[in-house]
Amino acid sequence: MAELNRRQLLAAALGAAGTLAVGSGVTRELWPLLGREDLVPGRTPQVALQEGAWTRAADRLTFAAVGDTGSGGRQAMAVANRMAEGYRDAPYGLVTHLGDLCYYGSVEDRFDDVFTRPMRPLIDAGVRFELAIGNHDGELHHSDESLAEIDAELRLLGTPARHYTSSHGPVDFFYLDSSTPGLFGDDSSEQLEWLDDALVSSQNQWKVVCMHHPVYSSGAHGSTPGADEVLEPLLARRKVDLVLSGHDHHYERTRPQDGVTYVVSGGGCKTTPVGRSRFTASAASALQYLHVDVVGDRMTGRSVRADGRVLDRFELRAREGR
Amino acid sequence: MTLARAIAGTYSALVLGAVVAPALVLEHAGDRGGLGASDGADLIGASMAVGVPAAALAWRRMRPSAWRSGSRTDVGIAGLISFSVLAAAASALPTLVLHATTGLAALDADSGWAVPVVWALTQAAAVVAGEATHRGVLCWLGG
Repeated sequence: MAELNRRQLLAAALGAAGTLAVGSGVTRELWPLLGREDLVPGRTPQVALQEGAWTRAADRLTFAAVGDTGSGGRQAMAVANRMAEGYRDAPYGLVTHLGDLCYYGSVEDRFDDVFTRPMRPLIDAGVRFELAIGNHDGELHHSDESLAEIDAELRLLGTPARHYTSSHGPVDFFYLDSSTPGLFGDDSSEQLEWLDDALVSSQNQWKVVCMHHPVYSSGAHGSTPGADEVLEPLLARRKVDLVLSGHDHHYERTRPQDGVTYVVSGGGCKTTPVGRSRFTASAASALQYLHVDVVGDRMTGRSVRADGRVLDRFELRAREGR
Repeated sequence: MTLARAIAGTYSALVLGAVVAPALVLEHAGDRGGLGASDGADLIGASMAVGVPAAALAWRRMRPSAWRSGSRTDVGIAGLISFSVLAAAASALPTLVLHATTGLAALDADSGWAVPVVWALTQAAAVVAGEATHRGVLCWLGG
């Protein structure tokens, strides 16, 4: 074997170390980042929808639920396109957005990219969007900047407040701001008291709570610490039917927990792995949204993947004893 | 000679793999999430358009006649260092550029060609960086 001079030895050592470092960095950091994020810009959905095509009746409602759509990328566009296709097949007049409306920048700068462009067919069809604030709409612990970001989102989407109720047909919706230090922390009393009062005064057949952070999740973030102690007893006591959330980028439905079904529908533009827990009825790591039909005392939900495949189908009966 | 050809061929294949792999990672992620099969094809095509010439360049650098014309050790060391530069840049540059342009909304995705062209250009820059590194290291070792 030829002897190496000092320069060759140094270069060979640099080359070997560099190759090892690059191999490790690329395969452990860059490729997972590329796979996890939705960085490639996507094409705007080109679906023409009939305006206001949904059924309006006191005992019927069809709505869609999606979270974590805020990239404006190719995967976000695919989910938005599927939502538009879903409207064409079974029109709905409401989308409950489960938070994380905007990634990679401020919503003021990116609103067109992350919301108007992907949702254009639904916006043009007159569909109403209601937002539950997410942690990327302001950090978990609010700074002045994150509060400004939240205010901007609420204003841009026409959302009345950080926590609020809305009523559509037979369903009352309760939107929580789970990013507020307080829903699960020391200052929880104000929003919880408000929720308790709102649930008590709700006279509709169905009660659906929407919030960004999941009470139950088998995904990357997992169940939100403290939610089982402060929030779950209230939801069970007031006979909430369904709790919708995002945050984890997957789909998961629980078996009823004290009568309440919990759904994570956070596959709006990214995917992260999901396992199965003792509470899991169905779970999938997928780009998806939830399409829900309510007819009288029966609610049917379908989790629809970006390619149209139905990942899960479930049916709930309105809870008795109100 | 056969061994030298095998080394040059393996090296070329590694260069092609380093250029195409990021697009395959994206394709796999989309596929796993439920995107249509054709959604990542444009980026794979763009990467192949850059990767095949890059592999041919790599073959030229590492082919047996090149080994005869210079120091075999120098060519091997330069190949190792330039490969690490190329592999890092072929993944990092598109990621950085996409991240920057996502925030700035600078890419006109609806045109259909802008995204694959930007992808190809960033990977071509990675190939150029690898080639420049190879020549620079050879020059330094020869000096």
